[in-house]
Amino acid sequence: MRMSDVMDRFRIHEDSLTGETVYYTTHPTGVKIAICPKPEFKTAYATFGTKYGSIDNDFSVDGGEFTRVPDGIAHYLEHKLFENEDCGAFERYAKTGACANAYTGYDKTCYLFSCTRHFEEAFGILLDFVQKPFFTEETVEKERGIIAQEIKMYQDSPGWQVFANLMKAMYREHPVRIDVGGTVESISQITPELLYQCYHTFYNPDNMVLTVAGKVDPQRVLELCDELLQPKERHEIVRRSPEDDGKVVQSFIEQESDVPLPLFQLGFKQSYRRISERERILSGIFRSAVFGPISDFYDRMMRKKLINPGFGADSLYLRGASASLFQGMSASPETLRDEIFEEIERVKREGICPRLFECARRSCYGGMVTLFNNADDIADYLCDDLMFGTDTFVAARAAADVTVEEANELFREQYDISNSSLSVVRRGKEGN
Amino acid sequence: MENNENKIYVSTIGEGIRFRSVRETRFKNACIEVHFYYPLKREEVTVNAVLISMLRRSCAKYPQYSELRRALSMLYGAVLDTSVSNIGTCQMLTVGIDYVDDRFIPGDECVSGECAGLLSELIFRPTVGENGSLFREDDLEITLRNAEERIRSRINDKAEYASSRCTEIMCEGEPMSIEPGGYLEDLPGVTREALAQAWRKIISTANVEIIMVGGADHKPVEKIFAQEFGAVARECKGLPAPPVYKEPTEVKEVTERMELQQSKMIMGFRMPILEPDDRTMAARLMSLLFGGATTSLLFKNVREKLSLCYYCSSGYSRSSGLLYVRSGIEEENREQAIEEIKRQLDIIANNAFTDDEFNAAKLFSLSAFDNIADSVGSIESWYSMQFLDGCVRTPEQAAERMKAVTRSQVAECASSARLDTIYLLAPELSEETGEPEGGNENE
Repeated sequence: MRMSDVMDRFRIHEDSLTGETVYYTTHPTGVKIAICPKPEFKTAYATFGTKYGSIDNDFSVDGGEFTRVPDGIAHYLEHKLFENEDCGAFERYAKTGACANAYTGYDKTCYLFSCTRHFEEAFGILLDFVQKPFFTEETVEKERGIIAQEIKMYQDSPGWQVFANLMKAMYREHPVRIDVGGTVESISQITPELLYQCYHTFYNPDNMVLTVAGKVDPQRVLELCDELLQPKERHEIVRRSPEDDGKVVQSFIEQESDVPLPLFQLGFKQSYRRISERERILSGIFRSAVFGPISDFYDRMMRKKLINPGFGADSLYLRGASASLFQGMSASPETLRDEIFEEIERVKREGICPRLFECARRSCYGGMVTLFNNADDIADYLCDDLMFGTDTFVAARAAADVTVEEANELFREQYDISNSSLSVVRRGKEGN
Repeated sequence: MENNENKIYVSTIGEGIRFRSVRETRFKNACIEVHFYYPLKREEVTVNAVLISMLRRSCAKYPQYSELRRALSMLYGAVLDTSVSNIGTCQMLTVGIDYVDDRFIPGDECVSGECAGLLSELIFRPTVGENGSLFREDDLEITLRNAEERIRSRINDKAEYASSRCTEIMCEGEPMSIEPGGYLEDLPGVTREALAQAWRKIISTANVEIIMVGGADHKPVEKIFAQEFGAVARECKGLPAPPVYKEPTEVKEVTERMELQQSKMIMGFRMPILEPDDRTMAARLMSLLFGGATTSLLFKNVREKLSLCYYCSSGYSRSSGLLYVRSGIEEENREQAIEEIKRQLDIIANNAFTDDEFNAAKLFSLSAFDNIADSVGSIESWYSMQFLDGCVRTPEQAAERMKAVTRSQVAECASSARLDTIYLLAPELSEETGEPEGGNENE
């Protein structure tokens, strides 16, 4: 193929705000691709991901029966994919100097590497092992001990406990209440057959994305994709989401654990809808203007000894679940929650301070402009964009012109104090 | 003095004060970090650590902390960072700022100049409080409570807590055992007077390195700090003596228990190889081959082959010569894990690793050196961590030295490692069975 033929297949986006150029295409196999070359860098970073995570645990393929698979299987599959029939992916990567890894979340699984030499070899290994599952009784069994230790490692983290409990308090049925890794018990039910079933359902090219950033040549990357991506039969996947009445299950959940100071997570459940880039940016800005270190609220809570610098506000956006969150450590999480309620009511009445909104907006703008700074960050943002249909460039531009009026409206929607849960991990009454 | 790439500039701007600028136009952000290196002393670490937090809360120009935070936001989200760590026998106290490079700011605002100015305000002009002395009581109260909560919460990160317990036990009586972030019992002694004294002491006697990485001209920044430090009567004490290698006489084995699901095991080794020893590069490669990557022996054997853990990794500190192996295991597998870890170290010491394993570790390390050039933060920390070394190298120079390391040098490093301490943080024993709780009940 001539060079221009290959390059013609890209849609090229030159972003004036960030100065970046991104090459987009959908490969004939169905894999969505985005490449952001940064020739002045030494590092190249690639991620190959599937829109498949722990919440995709109940599905049907091509109109067939629904299957409910054991908790933690997406994560287990990620571990096992590293092992091919002849040798492990890590062993193969060893010859390239690449630093390779993978992760599984609620709604995605990604395989990645970064390297400064031998990019083509490493890229070939990534595409190859992810497309070649090999599971036997023996290899699946061998992994059980390793994953059990990973699960226990998380269980020893009180920060993880308090979040996991919040999800249980907010959602009755939604699989976000289940830990990504599953439990030691649930992973004992995982078999090679189940792994193959999940693999063939979710690791089909239509459901996958590939992003590359850094010292790479887009044309060469696409040529390698042509060589290495295997066509597969396409399937229609239907993911079953449980009914949700939109209300939290319980407004308070508590666990005793030997922590010096209570840890908390406070969640405001929202009625689920897909939010726009502009709304995503707006909520980040008003969180910081109303509750962040620039706010009067933050200063007041610090003086009342209810928060420390670990206090923060956040959000959760997943298929079928969205919420506004607060987290940190506090001598009295219940008192802090009441203070947050009061502040929410006040802001709903009086509006967000325009001066602080402008402060937070500028800070957000700076953050968005510098987002595309490192190869790994770039590839990760592009990966999310391709997988979930978001557009980080649109979001960056929104940071330049969002207004406080828009913010006030969205704020009212995102904080419903009658629909919140407080999760606390603290020492037992007798000091545990 | 400029090096051959014309991008690194180094000057001495006062007694014991080095200014270094690395000119980089590839990034959208930039940073300026001021590092103070002060001898680690048990009785002074706490007040020094509180001082560094206090400097960000207590600036005369911004009497309220929220005002400072608003000023940072208006500088397009400049991020202030204060941190405390240890390096060799020094406590490293850092006040730094990371900001959007001027080229990406709308209009012709000079954010870099403002950030340098802000940093010097924070360091040199703390609030003057009640009765004309430095710092205010209300700021101190908040800072002390935050310090107390930070110190008490260390235990929440069980793996990290286990590592510091291992160091305390292994290096008892040596400066390395001192916790740079300070001690709970010393907080009540941190008064405004004590802080004012510590501030004068740090400003006038500590070794200082100021590092700037970014696209802007370094001269205005250099000038600001040269003037500020020029107004201080400097009596730099020089650097403390580096750590001394201590041959372990016997292996200390300590098990402590708390509410846990998984045991955290830390094995602490000592090596007589620490800066400025020429062999530190070989020791770094040895640690990488041993347990520093997914291609290393510990990952391949303790995790992949024996399925004993999710993580088992090694880390070597060239400023102290200490080598740690950290893993999360079932308590019942302790002996098996220890045997296997020792066996893998012996394989390296006996030069019995394969060429593939050796080459993979080396290639991995060369890539890591290359990678340093690709972020402002990694360039900055590359230089700040070399302050105590005999000479300062670029990542490229370090990579050249790494290329020259031989198999036998790596084997020699491994054979010099002596096991000093095995520390296990394990689940509490069940009152009924006497067995560890949270064990393999489901397997």
